[in-house]
Amino acid sequence: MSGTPAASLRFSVENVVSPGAGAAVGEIAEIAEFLAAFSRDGELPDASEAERKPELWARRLGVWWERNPFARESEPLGLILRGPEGEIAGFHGLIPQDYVRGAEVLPGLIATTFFVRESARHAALGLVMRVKRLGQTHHLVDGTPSEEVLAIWERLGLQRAPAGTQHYRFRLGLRPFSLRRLMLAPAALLTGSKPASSPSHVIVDPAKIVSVPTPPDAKLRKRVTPDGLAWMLASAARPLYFCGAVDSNGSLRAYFLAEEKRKLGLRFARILECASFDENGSALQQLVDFAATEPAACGLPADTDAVVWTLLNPEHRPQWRLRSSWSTNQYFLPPPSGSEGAETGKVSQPSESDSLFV
Amino acid sequence: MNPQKMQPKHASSSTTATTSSLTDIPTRLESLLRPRLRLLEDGGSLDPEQNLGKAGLDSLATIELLVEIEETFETTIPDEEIDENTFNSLSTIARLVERSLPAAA
Repeated sequence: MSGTPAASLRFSVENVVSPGAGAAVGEIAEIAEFLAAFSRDGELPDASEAERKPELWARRLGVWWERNPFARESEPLGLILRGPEGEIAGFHGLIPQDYVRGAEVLPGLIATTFFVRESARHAALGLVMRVKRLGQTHHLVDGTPSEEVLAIWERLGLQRAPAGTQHYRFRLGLRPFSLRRLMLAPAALLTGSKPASSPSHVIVDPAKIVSVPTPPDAKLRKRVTPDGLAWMLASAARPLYFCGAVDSNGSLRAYFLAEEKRKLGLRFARILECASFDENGSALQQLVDFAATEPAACGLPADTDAVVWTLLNPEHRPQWRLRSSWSTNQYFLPPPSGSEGAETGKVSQPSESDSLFV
Repeated sequence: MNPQKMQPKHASSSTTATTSSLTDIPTRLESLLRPRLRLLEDGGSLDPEQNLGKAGLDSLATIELLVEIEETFETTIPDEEIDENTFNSLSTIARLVERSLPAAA
């Protein structure tokens, strides 16, 4: 970590940079204490009891930075606004996440936790402009902006991710006759309960991936790595499931990450991110169809009643008949307009957010 | 902290334009400012020392203004130059912009 507290009677902005031995521990503890105090003092509306304690924040910072395989030494991890006495008066967390455009790797940052003391709001402009400058070198995403932060992002040129569609596929399963099964029958008939064909090699552990192909187009999208997937699975605040299809050489053909949701007594697997490495997306379609009919074989709970597939950029629209619209509060700053391939568009995923980790 | 140097984004292409437009800074700034001064009467004059907060410049408009200033003058205002007094008046902003341009280096 770097940065010297301001000696003058002015506020200053510091980058939090990659942990370097003992110094990092001290700064993480200082940031965690600031965030807890911010919550305790009533400046974070609806703060939970846990958020009033530094332990929770230290754990979150560890997930964002220490265990994150994209948090390389050169990556900014956050910004600190220091007051005239060197005290922390504001903080903006950044979670490194690589992106790709074809074979090109682009660094990205997921925004989180924009806390500035009421008494220091007048000095936050430097912090905001530092974020803008990071947008010249990084792809910026915020999946959970507050109203106040959103107003700032809009002025910095961040765009809202497109509204998406949720596609549902129900299954009857093999459970005995019950009210639940009766409820499911019409939905299963409507959305197709016939068994899907099994992809040749299904894996539920990202460590089994030998290689990840270059995406079939030049759109901006999250970079997929076995390390990155393992980090998400290990760090999510609620159960998360990985399922992938690989070829005989272990090369990834398609995958999805899903979370568990319960509603009306039913158990849903909601897909938060997915990708297909073939031209027409058929590998992913086959995998998700298979998961919807044979959830246990895909690492999902065996009594999963339905798969919900949320697509923000429906490149390959599933042939499932039950669907609903889904809007997102995800914002992103497109790559600089002068950069090569800036107009190729982006494939957004619901998982591009800090919400998985809190 | 790694202080940024005051420098234009494209020094070679902007030097000529900057030199010739130094005297235009207040005029160009005023055209950027006016749409954001909600409390300034239409067509009313803007005194260079007039308090911009009292003329209706709020914090969100300040962010937008700063972004536009950097784009218009092809410069980068160092973070450490930005404080609560920076946007007090047209003249304080003009001085900041002047300092950030290469002629001042």
